[in-house]
Amino acid sequence: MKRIRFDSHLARILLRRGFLLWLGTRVILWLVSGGTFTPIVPLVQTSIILVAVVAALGWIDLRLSREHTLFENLGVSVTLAVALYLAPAAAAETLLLVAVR
Amino acid sequence: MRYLLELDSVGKRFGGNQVLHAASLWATPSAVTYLVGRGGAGKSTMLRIATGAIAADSGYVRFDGTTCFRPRLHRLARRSLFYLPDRDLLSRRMTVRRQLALTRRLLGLSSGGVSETEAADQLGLTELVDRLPGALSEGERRRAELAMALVRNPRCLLADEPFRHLAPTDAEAVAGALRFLARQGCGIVITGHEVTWLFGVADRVTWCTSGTTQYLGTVAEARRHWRFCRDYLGVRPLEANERDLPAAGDLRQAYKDVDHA
Repeated sequence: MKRIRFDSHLARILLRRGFLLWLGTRVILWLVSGGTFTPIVPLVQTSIILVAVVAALGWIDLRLSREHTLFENLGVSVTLAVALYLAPAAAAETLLLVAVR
Repeated sequence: MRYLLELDSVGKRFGGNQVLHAASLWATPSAVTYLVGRGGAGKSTMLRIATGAIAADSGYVRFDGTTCFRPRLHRLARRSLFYLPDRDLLSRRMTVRRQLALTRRLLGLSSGGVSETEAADQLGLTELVDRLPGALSEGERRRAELAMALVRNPRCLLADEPFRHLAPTDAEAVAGALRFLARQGCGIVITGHEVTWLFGVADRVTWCTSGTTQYLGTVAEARRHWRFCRDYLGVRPLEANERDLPAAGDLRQAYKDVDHA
């Protein structure tokens, strides 16, 4: 049986998109709050919400771009793709929390 | 007969509309099964049930001898099923070459599929592979999707309306790729309503009508099926002593035969 192995190239693509989504979300949040939301001073609740938002945006991005069928055809589930989208957000938010404390 | 993919007595209701009831479909190795029927007959719904995009209300899906209670495309893909949806498959953010290469890389080197270059050559995409799919026509995108299937070299291919809106030259390239995959041992199910491709590509015919399916046998047998000929083709059925249909692949002859029937 031909097995599909997970590819680091595909992982990098999704991780990069996740990072850009997280960065964009943080910048938009900062702009919308009129600069009162300080991007480098995170709260735990805000971080959790941000990661959830990035995951939701990642899922929407996959659906709108119709890439979910392509990735599934390549053996990559939507759940795994969304996990790769949110991984940079989770890592960055954790790093920020650790750095501030 | 060994079935690669089997949908048995599948039923599906959308709201108050019973789209499918007791519909069945089989894919066998090295054969192209044409699921033919009018628009809205439930052809695409059957393929979507097979790939887990929607759940059936009744019946079951079996792939390679294993019953899939909750079929999922990514799991089936790991077992060498490839699905071409009726809408775009390709990512709009990567060039065709990059997507073909990604498919190849995910498979590893021992896949047995053709290389990206060979697949592009075979489907007349050599000049187009460095473009984004958004810069391609519908026919070119369809050929690029088939090129992915060639690189993937699946054991089972489900293609939803692969000939829709295609120019004859594009359609011939798609038909050639399907025949090539079938020769490699792939079990193929295609849906559609175009009679030309029914005669030109299919080895077996299943008629999707009134929410259920009817297996008609080979193309020649389908052409002698009086109800199919009367209700779908709109021509008189061939008699048993009449000349058989042209060999699969002879599309121009098939055109003439349908026109003259």
